[in-house]
Amino acid sequence: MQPASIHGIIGASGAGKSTLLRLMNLLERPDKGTVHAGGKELTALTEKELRRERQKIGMIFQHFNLVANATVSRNVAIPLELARVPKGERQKRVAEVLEFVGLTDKAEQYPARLSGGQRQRVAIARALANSPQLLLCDEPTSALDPVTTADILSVLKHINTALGVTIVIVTHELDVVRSICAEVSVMRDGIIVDAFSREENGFLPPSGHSGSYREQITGKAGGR
Amino acid sequence: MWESMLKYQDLMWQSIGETFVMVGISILAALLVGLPLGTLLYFCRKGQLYENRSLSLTLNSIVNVVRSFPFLLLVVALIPVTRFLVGTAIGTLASTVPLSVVAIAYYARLVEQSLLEVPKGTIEAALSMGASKVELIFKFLYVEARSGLVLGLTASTISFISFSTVMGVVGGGGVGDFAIRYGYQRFETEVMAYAIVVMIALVQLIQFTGSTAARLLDKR
Repeated sequence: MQPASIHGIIGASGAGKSTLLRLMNLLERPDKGTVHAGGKELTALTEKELRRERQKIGMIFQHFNLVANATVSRNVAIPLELARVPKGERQKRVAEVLEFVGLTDKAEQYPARLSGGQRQRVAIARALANSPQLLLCDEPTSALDPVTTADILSVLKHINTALGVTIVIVTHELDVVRSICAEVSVMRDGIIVDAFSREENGFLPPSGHSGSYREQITGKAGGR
Repeated sequence: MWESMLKYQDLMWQSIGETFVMVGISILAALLVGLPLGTLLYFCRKGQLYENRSLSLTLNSIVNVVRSFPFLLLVVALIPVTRFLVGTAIGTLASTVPLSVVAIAYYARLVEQSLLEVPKGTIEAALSMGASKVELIFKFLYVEARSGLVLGLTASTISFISFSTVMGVVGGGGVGDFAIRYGYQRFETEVMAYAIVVMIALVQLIQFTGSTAARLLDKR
């Protein structure tokens, strides 16, 4: 995988995409073989070392997986607490990442009061808090409508270009790959059966998930 | 009823005090031992993070045995233990031993149930952030399950009050014992009614407090 690129993993349900992603931070342990990330062999680490490495790998999920009983800023502060960041610095960093995802005004809200897209932004802010070099995304837009999907994808793209973070996205949506991925791996039955890049092959443009529903469906502007 | 209320005012206050001691210590035991035990029950369940069949089986049997004992027989069976711990098997303090044993088993089960309601995704997110076991428990599990934990403790407290009413057999006292000895055994029906009204008020108050707290804590 190229560092600082956006890599898509696509395939049908049950193809093993999520399992492959979970292997990358060892949420799932391989029966055999090793896992390398950030120049370290994760499979060889002790539990404590593995926890430290995980703090440097961000992860977001299809269903956001926020702590529902904690405010937005509290959710973002948790990974910093886990990494033993001192309080003053923590508050500063929380404000920073919330600004990055455009949720400064929602800092004291609870997730239940936010829309799906906003919740995923909180999850992204949480994943970015410890300035990871790698961001793992498990179907990050599959629970979102097309407009919100485009919105989240632009945030991910921005993270990649502005912060140089390597992003791995598991998805079953072609448009996700078409709009932001630089490389793709195709999976079937637990095996990568194909891999190619935008540079060599050129990707088709996504089928325009922006504008009104009329525009998305008919390709023409009009209506209200 | 007013007459008997005045007549037995002092005794009633004393009984309420005894009930509070018995129930209060049971709550403490539930929190200090039942909560960790329930958490352990949850973790070693099949399909959970630290799945452990033999530990799960052992803990489950202990909890079930304690809970299936007819309470009065548990009190009697525990007399040697009580004598060892408190020095005597008679009195309010001695009564807290069997009550605490039941309280621990009872609350542990309810804790396990509440924790099971925390979405698996939340746990996965916690692990992906590099949370340790202790951090997972205190920063994620208990935070997400907190209203269930409070409701469970409320339901338990009310059961402890009910259990405490039979502690008269070992001289534990309390409102229930007062109702039986003065109301039932001395045919003073009014006194019995008086004691029952006090119990009802107590239970209502506890349930109201618990439900309100749980509602305020629940931001999901």
